[in-house]
Amino acid sequence: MAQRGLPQSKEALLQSYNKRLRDDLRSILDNFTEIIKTAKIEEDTQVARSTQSEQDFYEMNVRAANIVRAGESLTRLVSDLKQALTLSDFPWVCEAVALRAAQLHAVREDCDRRLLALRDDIATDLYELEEEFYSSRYK
Amino acid sequence: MISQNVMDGCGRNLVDELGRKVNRTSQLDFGVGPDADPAYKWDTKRKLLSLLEVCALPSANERLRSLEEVEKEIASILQNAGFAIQELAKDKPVERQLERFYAQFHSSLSRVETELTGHIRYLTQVTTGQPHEGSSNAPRKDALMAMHRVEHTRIKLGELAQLCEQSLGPAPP
Repeated sequence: MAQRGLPQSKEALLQSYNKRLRDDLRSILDNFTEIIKTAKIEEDTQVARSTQSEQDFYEMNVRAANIVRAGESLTRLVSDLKQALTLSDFPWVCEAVALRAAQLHAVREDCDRRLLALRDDIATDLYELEEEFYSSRYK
Repeated sequence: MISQNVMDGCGRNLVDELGRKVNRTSQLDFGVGPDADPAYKWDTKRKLLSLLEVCALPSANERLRSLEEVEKEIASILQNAGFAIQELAKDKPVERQLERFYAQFHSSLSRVETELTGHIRYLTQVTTGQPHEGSSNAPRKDALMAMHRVEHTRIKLGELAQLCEQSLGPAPP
């Protein structure tokens, strides 16, 4: 992974993204695996069966909540990545600025072109009017 | 006398021509017309480069779309996990269904990991850490000044047309 001289904050941010991704995926997988393991019925238990089933029920609830929490954390990570892509993607921002500048340049060119055409039309009309006025007895 | 008639005729033609020119400046496609807001309000009407316009760029759109797909995959991870546990909770779980849900859960998990790792790697390559100092303010100012010129021309032509109307009187039917 090529890492140029990024500021420490940016590097730490990107590493935090990686860490969050790994932790959340591991959490989902581990908790799911443990739920499947807990579903196994054991004949010999140290406590009464009802107590064991209560414990298993509670454990499964907690692990399911952990899976959901990890899923939500992954969704938040995706949102952070979208924000980072929008703001920090240097080539993309350059392209966007250049495109916008070109659009505005085209608008300016269009305005000036139309104004020049208008000026030429009015100059022609003015010439005719001047011809008429200066050749009449009302000048 | 002839010249007076000719003058009247020329004046009438000028008024008509001015009216046409006023309409032509009004038809400039800036979302403004004869009844539109004055020029100083145009910059508030002009849409700044919104996120949607930025997303019109193909590379940006593809990346954001793939992140949308990743979000759907995350939802399908949780869904398949739930279906697998639900199947297991039945009195007579069907093994094939269980294996299918588990396989889907696992493949979604791998896909999410691959996609997000790829995005983070891309970010590592393109992020500079420095703020982007480019801006489109200068061309935007130029475009705004051009639109002001057009509006000013329109106003002046309108005034001239009005003056001619007043001088020559209303046009004959």
